[in-house]
Amino acid sequence: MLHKALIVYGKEMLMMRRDRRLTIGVTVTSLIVMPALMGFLGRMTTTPGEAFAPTAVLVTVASPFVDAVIQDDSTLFRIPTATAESYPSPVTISGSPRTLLIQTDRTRTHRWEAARRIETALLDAKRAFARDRLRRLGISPDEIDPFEVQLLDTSSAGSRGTALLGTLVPYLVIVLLVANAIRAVYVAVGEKEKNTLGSLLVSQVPREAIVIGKNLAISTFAVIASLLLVTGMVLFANLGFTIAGDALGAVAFSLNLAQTAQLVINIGCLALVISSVVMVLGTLARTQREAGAYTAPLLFLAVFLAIFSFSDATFPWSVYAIPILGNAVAMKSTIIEGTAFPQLGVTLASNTAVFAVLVFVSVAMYRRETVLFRR
Amino acid sequence: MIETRSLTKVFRSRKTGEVTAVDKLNMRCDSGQIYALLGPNGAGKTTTLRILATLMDPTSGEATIDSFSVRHQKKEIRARIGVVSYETGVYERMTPREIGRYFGRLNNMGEDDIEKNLEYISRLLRMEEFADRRTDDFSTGMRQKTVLMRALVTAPQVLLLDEPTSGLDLLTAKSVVDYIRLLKNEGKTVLFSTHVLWEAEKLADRIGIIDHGHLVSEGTLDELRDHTGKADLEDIFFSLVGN
Repeated sequence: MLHKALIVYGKEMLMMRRDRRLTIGVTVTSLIVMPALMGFLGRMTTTPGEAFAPTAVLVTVASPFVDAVIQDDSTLFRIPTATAESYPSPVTISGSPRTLLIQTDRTRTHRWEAARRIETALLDAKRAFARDRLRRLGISPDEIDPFEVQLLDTSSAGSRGTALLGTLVPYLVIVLLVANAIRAVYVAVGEKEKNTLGSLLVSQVPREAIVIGKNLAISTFAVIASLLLVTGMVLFANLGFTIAGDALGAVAFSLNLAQTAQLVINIGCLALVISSVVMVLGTLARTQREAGAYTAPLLFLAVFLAIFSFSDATFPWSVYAIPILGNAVAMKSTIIEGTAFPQLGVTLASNTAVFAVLVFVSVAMYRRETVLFRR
Repeated sequence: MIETRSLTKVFRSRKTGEVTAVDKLNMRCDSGQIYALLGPNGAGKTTTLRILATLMDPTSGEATIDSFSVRHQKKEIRARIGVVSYETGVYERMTPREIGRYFGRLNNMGEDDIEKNLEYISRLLRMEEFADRRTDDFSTGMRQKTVLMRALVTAPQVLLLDEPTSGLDLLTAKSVVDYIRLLKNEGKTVLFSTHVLWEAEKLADRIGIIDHGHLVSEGTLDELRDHTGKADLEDIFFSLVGN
């Protein structure tokens, strides 16, 4: 049976390889366009020398400390109360000289950052003022303010890049994998649409061999596209492309052998699951158009589940058993932590079980004339 | 030998309800014979051939090829048959020879036998010029010859041909007809359906006329003439199907 499956697989791969539009499209998109787009967008995120955007500040309280802080920060500019309405959600400093209230909309990132800077500067000014007073009173400030606390970021360009790409790569890989598996749906529906299915079915080839051979072909295609993307991301990151602008600098990104092996296994197993879903839907459909309608929700589902790779939450074990979602978070662990064991084991076991069930369903469909000769 | 006994196929669907495509069909084609199945569109010819090709199960009745049941011995039947249909497509981006090799391998043939058979068929069907060209821009005739090559690469003992000359120009149709005659000389059993009466007249040892799933008449051309009192096959056909 396996020998026949490999014959079917070989034929499908030959046809895909000869589809120039498909091969060029996949290679260029995965290896060049997507990584380059990430690099380009990264460069666009911040402009060198202008880390902070100019921010309007409305001050309704008389405080020399506030005046000094605004004057010292060149990105802050004070707006008069009369024209305040023309600035949507400015940073507002109100209250009383004893209780200063800094207000702004947290969803406006630049304003929130400016408000945080103002808060820090005011606290520094208050501390400097207090220490000065103590000195004048002949008391050493260290008596009541015995130590300093500083939080220092020890991350390197490499670790920042790994953290960022650990979030991005699983998402992009999964979306690309599903999109390409869907593109390869003609492997399943094409036989029916081009009226070649009858010839195949009257050959001495078990239905299981047809389904497995076609599944492997769809998987291989999707895996190649995904691995090209990972390769493209690694290459672009190491060629000095910034992925998140100056906030991270030129990130370094590399994978060791163990990580690469884990990623390949993870992507391969996920590809089998996705290809088996595509096979079921492609077998059910009569035309590529109909297959497109059936498979579109699969892409939406994949996008929704893969987006969890952006979450910093710690997931329970059960999450790793959910295909796509489990693969995404396991992939993230592999990239950031270096290993995803034993969670990856749960994901792979679940992928294998789902694949087996879906192959069984496809084979059953290949035996139903109401499906095969549906008009 | 191909034989059907009370072969019946009923399609059930929500849209069309219950449709009896083949109704208690009894026919027999002995080994080495050519049997032509004539009938208008929707008469049940394609369904009969699909059942014989093990692509569909009969609702009731039985059909056998070389005494193997289409219902229970599909594997044995598939090892003996070659199937050609007018609606069969060919794989794009593959050459006829590659398609032939693919089906040869799927049917457990050795590489040497595949190459030998492909060479032979290619010569007989005059496919040398395009046997190694991709099928993407093939004409209908070239495609049909590719389908024939694919079906014949396994050197099947029994051939089921569903309107094999449909859509072909006269020259290509003639070469296909000549080839079917040659197959008979090689001792193959051929069951073919057609709309083209002269093909049946020229080729068939026995002719079955089918309408609304029923076999309305069957026999040699002379037997049909005796049965209907008409001399010409066209008149025979219309006298039987027209009623």
